Parts: sequence; structure tokens; C-alpha cells
Amino acid sequence: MLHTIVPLEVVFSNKYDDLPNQQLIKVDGVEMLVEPSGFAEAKIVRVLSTDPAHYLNTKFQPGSNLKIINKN
Amino acid sequence: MEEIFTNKAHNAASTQPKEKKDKPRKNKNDNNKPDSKIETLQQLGQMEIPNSESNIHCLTIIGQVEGHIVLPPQNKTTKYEHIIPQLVAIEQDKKIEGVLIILNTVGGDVEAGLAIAEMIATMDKPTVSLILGGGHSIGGPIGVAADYSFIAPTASMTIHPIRLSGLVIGVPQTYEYLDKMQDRVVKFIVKHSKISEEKYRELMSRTGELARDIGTILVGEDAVKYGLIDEVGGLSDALKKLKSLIEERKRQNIE
Repeated sequence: MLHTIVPLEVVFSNKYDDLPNQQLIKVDGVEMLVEPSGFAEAKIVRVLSTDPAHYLNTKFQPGSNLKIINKN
Repeated sequence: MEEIFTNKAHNAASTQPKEKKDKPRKNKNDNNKPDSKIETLQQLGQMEIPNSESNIHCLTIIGQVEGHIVLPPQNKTTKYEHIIPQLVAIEQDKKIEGVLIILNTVGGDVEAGLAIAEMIATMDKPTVSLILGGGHSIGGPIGVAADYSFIAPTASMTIHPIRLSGLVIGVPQTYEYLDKMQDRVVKFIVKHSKISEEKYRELMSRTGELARDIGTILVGEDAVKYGLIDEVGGLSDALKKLKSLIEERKRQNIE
């Protein structure tokens, strides 16, 4: 059940159907939401950490790209 | 960009030619990773990023509080499956001494909001909340759950009843069910703030303030006046309060 000031028709509208292909990953112990950007690369969308220091880490700035390395 | 960087490094080196022995080593380290610095420059428009270790962690609750139902992608959400483990981790980590909860939320799932609020309220470590922008609907219980709460002068809180149009899957939406849901929210707020139940219910059912609904919008000082929030303030006030709560807790542990 929702208790919000946003009208429910806005919350549940189907106007925006371009589902972003985002994934939750953990890099060096920091959880973040990423989306694919080119070959074997992922762009950081959002950092999900409560440690303020993680947000100052230049590697984890939203918008920067991470290389995806397959460990197998 | 690279030129700017190297010039600056060169200037810094030439103005201070004679330094301690560790100085050249420091410069060398800088030169070893110019790439990351340039990247920083491109993305933030500034050179220096301070490195710090913080004993205070910060929990941001933004957009919709997402709970039992996954919301469509146009909603910016804070998910309870992210927040709850984070709170557990903060409570357990010995290095973390306090939590600052930053709220800018439009409300969301009742049970997710109450779950987060209960987690914050039952934490042993000092907690301070700061409402910026908005702390509406179910953001209210989360805002008052902390040991001490702040609201920015321009921030607002909307107090209104849980609507009949709420989505409950497989449960008949009887009046009683809604009423019970509402009671859980009101009881939590009354227990964790200085507002009385009568006053809160009166604000909740006031007419003429909201265009589409009954209820009240409290801006900054109003929320403090009614006893819902402890103080009007900003980031430095909230951090100062949190630090003093941390000191107080340390003293109590020694005694």
C-alpha cells in the first residue's frame, strides 16, 4: 500500500516503457547500480553506500565507466 | 586538460624547490597516476578530491520508498532491501559511531517506510535526521524516528491520510483495514515526536490546504512549531548534534 503525495496514476503510468537495463553489482566492497555502456563496460548510475568516503572515490563517480572483467 | 595539469604540477614543483626528503617521492606518486586526476577534472571540474575516513555514515532516502511492489522505472526509488541491511551493517560496525539520515522523499510503501523507521528508532548508535526538500507522507515516520530531527527552513512535510486508492493485492480494502494501517503510522509518529495524537489527526484531516486531498503541508518552522521535528537547521547543525550525541554516548559507556 502506498502513502505518497505523488498521484497513483503518475506512479503507475506506463508512459515511460524504456526499461533501463540496470544491475546491482559490488566493486571493491561498494554496492552500485550500473548500466551497460559499450563492449565489456558498465556506466555507474548510482552508488548505494552509507560511507561518505565512497562518494569521494574518483573511481566510483556516477557517470564513469567500469571495465567488466570476466574472471573465468 | 593534460597540459593544464602538467603545468600546474610543474609550477608547484618550481616554486618550492627545496623541501624535505619525502617531497620528490610525493611528486613521483602524483605523476604515476595522472589519468585518474584528469578524469576527476573532467567530471567534476575540480582538481583536488579530499580523502577522508568518516566515523559518521550517511543514509539517503530519496524519491519513493519502495517496498513490496517494484515501481515502474520513471519513479526514483529507495528500496528497503538496500536500506535495511545497510542499517544492520552500520549498527554492527565498530568504526561507525553515528548515522545521519538525509530525507528527500515523496512517500511510498507504508510497510517499507515503517520498517525503515522502526530500524532507525531501535538502533543503539546515535542517529540524526535532516529533512531537505520534502519528507512527505510515509517520510514522516522516518524523519521522526531518529534520536534528533532537523528540517531545512525550505523543506516541507505533507501530513495526509492513507488513501483509499492504495494498492493492496488480494486484500479487500475495508475501512477497518485502512484505519488500522493509519493507526500504525500515527502511533509511531506520536511515540517518536512531541506532537499529540489529537493534533496530528487534526492536521491530517484539515481541509482547504491540499488541492487533491485533505491534510496539511508543514514548511520548515511549522513542523517544529507543532512538535513534529525537533529543530530547524542544515547540514552543519545536524552534524554538530550528531557529534555531541556521539560524545554523550562515549561518556555514558565509560561511566
